[in-house]
Amino acid sequence: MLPENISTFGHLVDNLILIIFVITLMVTVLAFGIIIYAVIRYNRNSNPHTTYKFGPFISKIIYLDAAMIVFDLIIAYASVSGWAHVIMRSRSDLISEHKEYVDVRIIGRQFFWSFNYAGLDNKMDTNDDFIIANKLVVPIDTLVLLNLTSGDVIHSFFAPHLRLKYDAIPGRSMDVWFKATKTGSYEIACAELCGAEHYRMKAKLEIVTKEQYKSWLNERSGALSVR
Amino acid sequence: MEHTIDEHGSHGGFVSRYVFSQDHKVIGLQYLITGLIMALLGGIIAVIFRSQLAWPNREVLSPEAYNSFVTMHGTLMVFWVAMPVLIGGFGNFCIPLMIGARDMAFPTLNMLSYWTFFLSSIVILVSFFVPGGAVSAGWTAYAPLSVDARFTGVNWGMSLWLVALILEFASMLMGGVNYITTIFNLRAKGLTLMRLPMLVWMEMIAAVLFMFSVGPLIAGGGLALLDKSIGTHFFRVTAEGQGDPVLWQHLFWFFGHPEVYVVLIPGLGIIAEVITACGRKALHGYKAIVYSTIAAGVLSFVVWAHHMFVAGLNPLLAVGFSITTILISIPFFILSVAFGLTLWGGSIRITSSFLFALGGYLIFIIGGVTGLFLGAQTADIYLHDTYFVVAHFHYTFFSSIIMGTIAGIYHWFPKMFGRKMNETLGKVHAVGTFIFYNLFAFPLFFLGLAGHPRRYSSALEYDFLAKYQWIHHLATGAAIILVALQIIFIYNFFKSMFTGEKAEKNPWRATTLEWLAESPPVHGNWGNASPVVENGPYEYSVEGDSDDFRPQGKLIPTHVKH
Amino acid sequence: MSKLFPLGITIIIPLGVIFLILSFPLTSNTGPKSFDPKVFQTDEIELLTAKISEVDSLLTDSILPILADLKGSKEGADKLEQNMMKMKAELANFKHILPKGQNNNKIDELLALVPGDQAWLDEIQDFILLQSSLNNLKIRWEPDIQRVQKGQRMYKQLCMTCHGKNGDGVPVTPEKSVTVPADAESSVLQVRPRDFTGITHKDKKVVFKFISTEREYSPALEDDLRNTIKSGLPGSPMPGFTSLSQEEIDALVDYIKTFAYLTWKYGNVNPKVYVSPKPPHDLEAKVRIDKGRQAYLTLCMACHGDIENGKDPEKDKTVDWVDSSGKPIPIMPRNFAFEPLKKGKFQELFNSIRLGIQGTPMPSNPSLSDEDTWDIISYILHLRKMANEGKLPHKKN
Repeated sequence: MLPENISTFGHLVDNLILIIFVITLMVTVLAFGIIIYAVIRYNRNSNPHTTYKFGPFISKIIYLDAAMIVFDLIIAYASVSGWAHVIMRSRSDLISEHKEYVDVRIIGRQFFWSFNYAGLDNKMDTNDDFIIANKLVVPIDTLVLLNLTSGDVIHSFFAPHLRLKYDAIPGRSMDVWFKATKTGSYEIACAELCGAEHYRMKAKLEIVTKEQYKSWLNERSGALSVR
Repeated sequence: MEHTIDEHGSHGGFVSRYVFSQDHKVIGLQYLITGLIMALLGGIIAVIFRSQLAWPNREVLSPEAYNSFVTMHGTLMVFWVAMPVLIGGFGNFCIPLMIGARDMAFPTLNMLSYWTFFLSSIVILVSFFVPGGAVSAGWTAYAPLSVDARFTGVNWGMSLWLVALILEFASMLMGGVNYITTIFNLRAKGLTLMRLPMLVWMEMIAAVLFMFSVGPLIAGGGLALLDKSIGTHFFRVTAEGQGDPVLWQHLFWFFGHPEVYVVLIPGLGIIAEVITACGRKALHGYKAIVYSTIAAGVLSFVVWAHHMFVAGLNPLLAVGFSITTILISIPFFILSVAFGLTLWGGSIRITSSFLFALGGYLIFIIGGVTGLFLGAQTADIYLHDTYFVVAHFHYTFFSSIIMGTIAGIYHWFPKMFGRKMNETLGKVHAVGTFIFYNLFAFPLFFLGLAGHPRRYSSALEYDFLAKYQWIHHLATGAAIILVALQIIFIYNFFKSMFTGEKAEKNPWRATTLEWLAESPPVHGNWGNASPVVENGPYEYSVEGDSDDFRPQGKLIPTHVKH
Repeated sequence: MSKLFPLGITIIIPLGVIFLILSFPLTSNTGPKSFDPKVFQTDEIELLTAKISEVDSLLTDSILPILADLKGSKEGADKLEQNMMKMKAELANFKHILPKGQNNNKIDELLALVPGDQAWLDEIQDFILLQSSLNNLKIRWEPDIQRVQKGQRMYKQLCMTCHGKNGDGVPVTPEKSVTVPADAESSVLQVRPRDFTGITHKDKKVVFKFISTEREYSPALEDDLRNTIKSGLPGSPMPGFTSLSQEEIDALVDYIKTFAYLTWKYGNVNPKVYVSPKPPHDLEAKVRIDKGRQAYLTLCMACHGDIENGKDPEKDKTVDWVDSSGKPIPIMPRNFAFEPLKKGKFQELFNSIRLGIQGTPMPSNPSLSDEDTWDIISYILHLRKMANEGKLPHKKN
């Protein structure tokens, strides 16, 4: 059911969901089996008499609980390691790791996404910045640094194919990143209720080759260096 | 029994006996009925907005109205159904009977609690009809969307929502104080804490959780009201960057997470009562259940930020909150195992109340395990605010609020009205509710995995969602049938109230103290006798006994001082 | 009865608290203004259609016969006065639809007059002349209601948050940016969003900054609006709505025009479109830059500042726009070196220098030769390069 994964860290999310799914499926099927068996086997007709027994509960629970704790540890480990890779990385670390990157400042507004590009010089707040609405164009295999904020209410930047979601909160700015692995056209949604048109707050995510991106940037850049 | 044996409500006319009554049983029923009416309203609202989801092109609701309906569905179901029914209704009705008291410790406070709640219900219902309509910022009312009328067009609706919420909390606080005092001070002779029936424990833990958690939200609600009406900026952001909307989320969820346990664990208490009485077997691991519920309650105060993993929390903080969240699965796992072991080896009477309890138990297991997906913060990046969350909390809430409540109603109906409910209709109702609930809610997990965000009034806008429209059709169809099925219950409820089979004192042959009283109990519960407790709450099928149950205590005649 | 006493108190106290709290929004001026969502419901479009036809019938059925009847006679004047009285009330309803500027002021004056005195009759004469001249204008645009409805939904989704629910440029954003403060950089929206109704203009005129026609031509061409919607205005929060289809942009433009319905309806049919020449190839030549510097220092520096020597443009440059309290809203001259240009392509910049920018102190320079204009552009290009290389002194704010 998960949409196609197109980011470098998407598999961490997918695998974690798969791990938890396997564990919970096991536990649930086992529990349902036992309970339903118990209800059928030990109903009034098949088991008219029961005995009062208060056997030590601890002896029964201890192994089950140990198993549960192991499951929990597996989940927690996978989750924390994924988190460390996806969210817990500072902007400066990411920049020093990657030579080239694309910097995009995203402002959520009722009810569209406004993507501020740094332009040709890849520096924000210079004279070749430009803004486009509802369309995020990024090159493939390149670090994309997103700086999220909002102009009015809380929005949430959600790109399901990238497995990325982060809130855009007025008065705060949040840094997230991604690196796409596949070209194509995808969708970006708003995941936090932001008003009446919340469900239409949709943007396009276009992942293009590096050459295409370069020429697109040249074409869009509002600086005087283009004809 | 230092408390004066005044038979509350036994004097005076109809009004002071049944309307402004101080009798805990009348108040409990008032809570119960008010809550059930609200539940019906919430269900009908749900059907309407689910129709919009299934057929978005027909414009069943405008986007504004859709948001309003979704918000009010959540609000009503959590604050005006779960709280009054599980805490107000069963708490009031069962606690004094189960601990052998004649009434609550503070009967007048109890009455005030109900009428404050009643007032809050009126305020929240009025909010539908004020200019701008009811609040439409989600039941979590995230600022700044909720605190500024310009963002949604809702002005009065939000003010009334906050006022109603504050009143409702005040009411539930009065109730909570009462429960705790009553349980600690008015227990019958011989009823030690570890002999309390599980429902009483659960109600007590819920009341304590509620008392500890609600303060921040009442304060937050007040601040939000100030933001809205006199233009302060606690939660709104000015151009200078003053004010912080995330503060509201902290205040809300610091209350919100204990709150979901407040409405969950009394339901589990009811399930425990029902499965022991119907399984003819002691509750296995009584102490383990008590301790793990307390542990879950304590843990619930340190997990609130798992609702805010992607809300710009310090990432390191999210790690801690994620671990506590995953840890909380352990007490509930112990609790589930204990219930399972209680069923194992029993001699189960399959009554409608048992079917509801079993259904609630199974639904709770699904709700519990899916919580792991959301507690693991990396999976939550993707699943946060999608239909997966919706399905998860419907599974946990439904198990307690609907299945638990209805199991409780079938179970204690003879005690409430002196008549039994129709079992055949009850079983049809139970099986139907279970099947159609699952048909409605289970597909939503898949919708969530597909990345469908919550609170969208139409999925057709998105290519990656449009192909799952059939799930909306399925869920809406099942939801309509689910709500329609409750007609059976309403019919059964009122028909049995007047023409049902007469019930004796102890129709289920259960052990706890309330079954020693008359059905329905007289004002003052025990007449000229007082219960004295001799053994534990669940002494079923004790070897050597002629009968398969041993009542927890017996009634000793006392001299009533007038 | 004594038992009911605490109950009474519990009910009365919360009720009192509720009314106390709820009375705040009624008494307080600092609270947010109430929002009327009705404006954006579909029946509003029906209302709009009805109003449009009413205004039309008013013009053709009432004004023109009166004009024919008048002919200076006493009876004619009496009859006219009667009709005008009837229309007076109706006119008040249409005020926000009628063309802004002169006409609207006229109506205001008319409404303020006491019938019967000499001025009243004179005013009627003027008014009739005005209306007939309006009728002589050819209809250049009629709204297509379906398109307008579509545009309305899109406006609500994409534009309302900044341009306001009434299209008057009052944003649905944090307080401060509702009116642009003197230190404009610190506001969330650095510039005031366009007012499509003309209500904040000092002459109540609908004005668009970047047009490709002669300066006095109002309003803009539809193509100019389309261009701006598509490419955005860099250096302001206005993004380019690149993902919209042509059809959607047309719908949006149609809806925006309904904010000043009659202005657009009776606009000039054949505006003179200005087509700028192709830029020369030697824009980076040193000679051009030097010539351009000279021209800049004489023509532009007074407002835009001597950027090369670290002098930023002057703030608070104009008073063409007023906010609701009548306070002028300043407009900032662009800093060519450090800020993005709203219309930054060579030919667009050429247009702006040649034609000026409407609604700002930027004048048109029709006497400037093509070559001189390119020299200035060449100098601006030079400035921007220097800025990018970090060679210019710049005191940000």
